[in-house]
Amino acid sequence: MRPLNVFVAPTGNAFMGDIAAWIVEAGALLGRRSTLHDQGDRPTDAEAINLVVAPHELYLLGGFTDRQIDAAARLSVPVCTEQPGTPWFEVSRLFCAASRTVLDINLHGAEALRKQGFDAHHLRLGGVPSMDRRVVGATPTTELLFLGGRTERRSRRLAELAPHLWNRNVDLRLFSFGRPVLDGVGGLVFGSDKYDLLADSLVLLNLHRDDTIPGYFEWARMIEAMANGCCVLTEPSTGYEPLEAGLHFVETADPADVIASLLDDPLGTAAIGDRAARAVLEQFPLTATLGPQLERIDQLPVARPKRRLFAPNYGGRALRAQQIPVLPAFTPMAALRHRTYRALMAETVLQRQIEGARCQLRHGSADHVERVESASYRELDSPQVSVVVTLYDYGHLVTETLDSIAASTEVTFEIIVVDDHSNDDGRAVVAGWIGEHSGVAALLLGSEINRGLPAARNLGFEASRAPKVMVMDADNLVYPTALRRLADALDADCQAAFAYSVLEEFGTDTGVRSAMAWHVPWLCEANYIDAQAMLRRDAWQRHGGYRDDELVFGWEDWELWLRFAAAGEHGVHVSQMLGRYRTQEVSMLSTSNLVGDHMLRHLRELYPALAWPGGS
Amino acid sequence: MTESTGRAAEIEERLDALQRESQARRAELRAIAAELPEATSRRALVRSMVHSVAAAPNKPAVVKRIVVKLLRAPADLVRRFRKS
Repeated sequence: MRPLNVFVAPTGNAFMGDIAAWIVEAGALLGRRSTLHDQGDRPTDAEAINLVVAPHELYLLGGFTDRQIDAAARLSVPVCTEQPGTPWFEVSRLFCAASRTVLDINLHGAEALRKQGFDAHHLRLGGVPSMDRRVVGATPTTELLFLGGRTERRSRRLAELAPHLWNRNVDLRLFSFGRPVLDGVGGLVFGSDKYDLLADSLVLLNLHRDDTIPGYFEWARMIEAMANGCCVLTEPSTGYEPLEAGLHFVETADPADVIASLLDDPLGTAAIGDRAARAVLEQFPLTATLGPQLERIDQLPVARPKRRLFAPNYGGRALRAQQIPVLPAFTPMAALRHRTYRALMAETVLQRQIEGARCQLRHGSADHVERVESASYRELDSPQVSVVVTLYDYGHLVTETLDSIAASTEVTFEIIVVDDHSNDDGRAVVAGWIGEHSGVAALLLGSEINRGLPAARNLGFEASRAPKVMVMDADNLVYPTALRRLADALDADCQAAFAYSVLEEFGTDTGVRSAMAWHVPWLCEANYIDAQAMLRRDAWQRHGGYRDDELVFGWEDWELWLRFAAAGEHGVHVSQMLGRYRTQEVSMLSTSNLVGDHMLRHLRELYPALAWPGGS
Repeated sequence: MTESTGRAAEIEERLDALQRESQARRAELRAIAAELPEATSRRALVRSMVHSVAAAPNKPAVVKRIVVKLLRAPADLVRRFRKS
């Protein structure tokens, strides 16, 4: 029996590290001397069985030469982990050509590789003892957990579930496929931390990444959930045999239909989880499928003979498989765009000055603000949360927003609406709403000039009386639990400058936003945190509020998050859908996009020490 | 003339100046709009694309990708022809 070496990239996706660790554990249980190589070394021992988990990551991230890769690949058996149809599957496939045989944890992946002429075999994953972190008699804290890469489809499906989940204890942990997923980054956990999370969750929701239904049963995620007694709720899937739908997991085309019944019957749901745990740990453990594969590989000659004089250009082929565009990003008519933007901004400033002069003629002051307040506003001394709603031409939507805030539970709050000199009847609508809701502490600040969004928000902050301030636009909504849960998150993390939750997008498009946890390198790539967040008032004050600068127009919230990051502060993510973001055709961001490249350069100049893509 | 009417006149005067400036700015925006057909012509877009390549920070990588693409073009054509 040959010893088993399992190789995995130290800087690759942490999922792969988990899979490699399971294989090593199962190999040891089978009586083989098994070693995990996760420090960046490559296979060199011709006498051992060398399994390389996710070979594309080990070889591409390891900085090896083509000759070294070729030699290592001939001595080893790749364990492919990627789904067919993805660019990563194609990249992974490149590193299989030099090996005698290939293993794939995905049934469809093994089939696809066989069709391409590889001697590919399916390595069905199963449980290993170290996965099991269940505590006898413990009640799960999290009712529903979602772990997965963010795709458009998953975003849409999650958004559909928001009305069923806002009052539940859920934990939605999404990540971007664009970069390796590392342990501890952006709320993502692996190894024993992940098993603890799963053991403390009643249901794991599995949504397929694309519209292929039935989709691939993601064994790696399912097995570790099942081993921890977590009931898997999945969309219709293929390739889950020998597990049985209905017995070991719940399969449905519409998760919204069954979520309530599963969560309202924790004992029945836990019973499904227990059956699944027994199945993957006792009936179908990893040793049952790994053993025969290792025995088969034992019979193969040690290394595949070298047939080529020169090693292939692995790096070049991998680049081609990733389909990087030939030309750089096309940014046409830069001079014209900049000229247009400057003229538009200058005209906006002029209009504000004209309004200021007219306001001075009428009221004797250039920044006169009209106040309307409810009796409750006067009576409430120290609210826990101030909600600042900026209003500009959303008279037809603002009552829905105010109603949603007024429905908040378990929190004392005040609403401050800043009307930024709307052209419609928004101010009168809000004044009427305040008159009809005397029991709600509400203040309307009607500006006689259009100040622009950042200045309007700053005006609302100045008027706020609570230590925590929720920022909202007049067309967005909150679920009743939002204020309490965001305030709790700030209380739990006293270092956090602000808290934000996942938002359900509704309107012209559906999906989720603000879906990922705080991580500065991600923030430097793009703004993935919406302005709808709860800020500590003192953090806003300490940093001088939202920047009113034409070079961050439309990006004021991003600029503020970056300013926090540059000062070493952070935001805390509440991984639940607690708010609703209305998607519409027209946005002020269209103007910003005229000079997006220029504005990005400006942000980099403002905060050069941050982890910008490609260095500062 | 009282102090308040004097102040009002001063503001009115400023208002007039601002409105004149605003009119000039709008004229500039109209001029930009008039330039659009020429600025968005195919020739201008190609010129802009060439400028983008020339100004790319990773110019050698872009040039390498273009050269490789051109060198592989005959083989790609043959492959496509065989497939069809």
